[in-house]
Amino acid sequence: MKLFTKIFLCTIVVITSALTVTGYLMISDSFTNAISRENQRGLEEYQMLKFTLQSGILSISESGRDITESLPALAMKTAEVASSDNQTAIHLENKQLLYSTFPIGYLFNDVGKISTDDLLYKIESRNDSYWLVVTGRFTQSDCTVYLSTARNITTSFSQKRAMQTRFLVIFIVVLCASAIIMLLLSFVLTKPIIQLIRSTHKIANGQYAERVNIAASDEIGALAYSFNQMAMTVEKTVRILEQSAQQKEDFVANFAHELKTPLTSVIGYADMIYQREGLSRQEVREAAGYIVNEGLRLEALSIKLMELFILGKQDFTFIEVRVDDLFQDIVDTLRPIVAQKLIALSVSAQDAYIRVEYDLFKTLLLNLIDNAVKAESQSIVISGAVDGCSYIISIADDGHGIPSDQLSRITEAFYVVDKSRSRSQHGAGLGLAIAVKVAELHNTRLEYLSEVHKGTTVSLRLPIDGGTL
Amino acid sequence: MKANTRNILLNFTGYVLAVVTVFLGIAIFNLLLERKESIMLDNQQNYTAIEKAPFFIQPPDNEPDIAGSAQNNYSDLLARLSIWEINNEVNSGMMTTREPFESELSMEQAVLKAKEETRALIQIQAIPPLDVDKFMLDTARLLSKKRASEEAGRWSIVFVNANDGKDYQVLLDALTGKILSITSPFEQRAHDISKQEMLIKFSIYHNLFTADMDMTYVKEGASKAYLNIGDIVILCQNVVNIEDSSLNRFTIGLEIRTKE
Repeated sequence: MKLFTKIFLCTIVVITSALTVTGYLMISDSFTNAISRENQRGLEEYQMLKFTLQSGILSISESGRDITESLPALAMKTAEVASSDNQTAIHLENKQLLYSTFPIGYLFNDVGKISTDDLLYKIESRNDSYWLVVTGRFTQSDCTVYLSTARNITTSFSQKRAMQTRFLVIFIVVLCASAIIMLLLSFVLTKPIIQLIRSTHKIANGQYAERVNIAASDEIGALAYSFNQMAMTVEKTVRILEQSAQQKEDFVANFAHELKTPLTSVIGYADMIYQREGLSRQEVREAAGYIVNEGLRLEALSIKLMELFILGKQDFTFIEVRVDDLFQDIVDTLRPIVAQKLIALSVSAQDAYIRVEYDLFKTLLLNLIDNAVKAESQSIVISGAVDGCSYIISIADDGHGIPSDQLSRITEAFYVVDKSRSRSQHGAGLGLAIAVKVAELHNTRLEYLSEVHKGTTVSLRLPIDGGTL
Repeated sequence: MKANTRNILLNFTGYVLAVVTVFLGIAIFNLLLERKESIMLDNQQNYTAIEKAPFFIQPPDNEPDIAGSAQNNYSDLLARLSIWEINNEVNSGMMTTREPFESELSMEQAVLKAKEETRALIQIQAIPPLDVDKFMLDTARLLSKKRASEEAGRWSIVFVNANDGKDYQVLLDALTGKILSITSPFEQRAHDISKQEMLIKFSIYHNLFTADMDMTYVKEGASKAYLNIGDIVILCQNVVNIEDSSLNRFTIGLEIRTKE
């Protein structure tokens, strides 16, 4: 059952109960009071008539007249004294009727049980009229008489019934009005709750940006505020979890990508040792040295990539590197690949020192060269030149080039320009994304100059001699 | 689907219950009131003794101690008169009738006492002479105030002369048996005592005429005079009918000074 229905039905039950109890108590109390007043008046009127009759008997007794003879006339005189609403009946002790103006067939069947000190009254109902009948017995001058008075109290009963009818009309009107008001009130009260339920469903379905807009200063408002706070926390936590998962995925992908070039070198040198016969001791040592160096670099690189991509580390140790040495190291690493692909790799560097994180920066350059290789270049030129306070490193190829409309997207992870070619060359579209990340670490950025079917030149600028970019 | 059906069933039951409650409320309301009415009627079919003391009838042999009650002083009388003061908020209320209490005079005693006290007043010349023996009891009623204490009862007794139809009325204190006021016919020639004298004698009758009381006599025209004793006022008035002297009325009685 909906809350709206519960509130509505409970209100109807409560209002009905309250109206029933209140109405009954009010009308019952009013009716009791009215009857009580009528009883009081009836008893007073009885007393007046009793005094009249009693003093009449006393007077007859004083005058020495015969009471039995004078009593009928006295009874009539007494009845005449009574008010128009009050009827009288007077009986002797032997229940002989002396005089009666009673409109109803009132019989004194129980009168004999009345003691001298008692005064009895009851309400008689006759033909839709109600009478308060008061009966008493008294003895005056050795004469015992029964005096009865009947007072018409139909008005009290009529008023009670009129009140009852009026109250029922009020009851129905109030109930209907309350029902309408409660319908509206329930709707207003449950509206924000329904809004909250909808928002909860949306968040449960992954729409973490969902918020409720309830401008109220009551408990519902407080609930809405808390709900928004909770939603904000959930959204933030989910984002962090997603980022964390993404970072892990990136690391795995990047690490796998970065394994490729060093492994190619390692495999190339190992293959050379394995297949070529007649290598001198010196040549074997050199090849083995490259294998060891690349292995060590790979080990260091794995840690640094984890620090960069998962931990977001920015304070790597930068060292002064001579550009010639760096380029030579790259050439040595690429030698097996260049030999395999029959690519003309030329290096020209103006002598200078640059501050770089060696392994990561070498990775950056290797990625750029690897892209040139994948672009089926015949010739790759690595050059370095001093330009004022900065040093510009460029890698130019004569490969397929990149269409100008795709230049802005090439640094996105997993984006490849030529998908079919990329698949055949086992490309994942991660090389430039890593290169960009490393460039950012060195406070520089990659600049592309490309023309389709003519080639691409990627350059970056680094500060030298304490200069800034 | 099952939950939805259950919900619809619950809602339907709820609304049915609400409607039943409304009808039940109306039915119970009517039933209770009808029952109330029927109880009142049923209750009356069995005769019930009234337990209201004022309506009890007094045993005739219960003689009150009138001699002891006669020791009224000013403050006692003032207190008893105050109950009947019109502007008395505490004791104001409708006048009613009731049976005399045990400490009060019964009707027979009151009638005898009224005649006896009338003779006493005539004897001390507090009222004009009157042949009391010629007068017979007409009506006697005990009056009281609804909210008043037990001591507020007054017998209002009317005596009639069967020969000429003249009457005299006495207002008798139901507790003390003292005449608080009397209205009687009088012969102008036969009554040559001054009003002031009658007022003083009426005050003596009530033990009010003492040296330490501050008294003021006020005459208002030829027919009316007052004697102020503290907050008590004794009024004396002659209503003379020029055309028929048999309708002449003399009144003397105690009142309490109306507080402004």
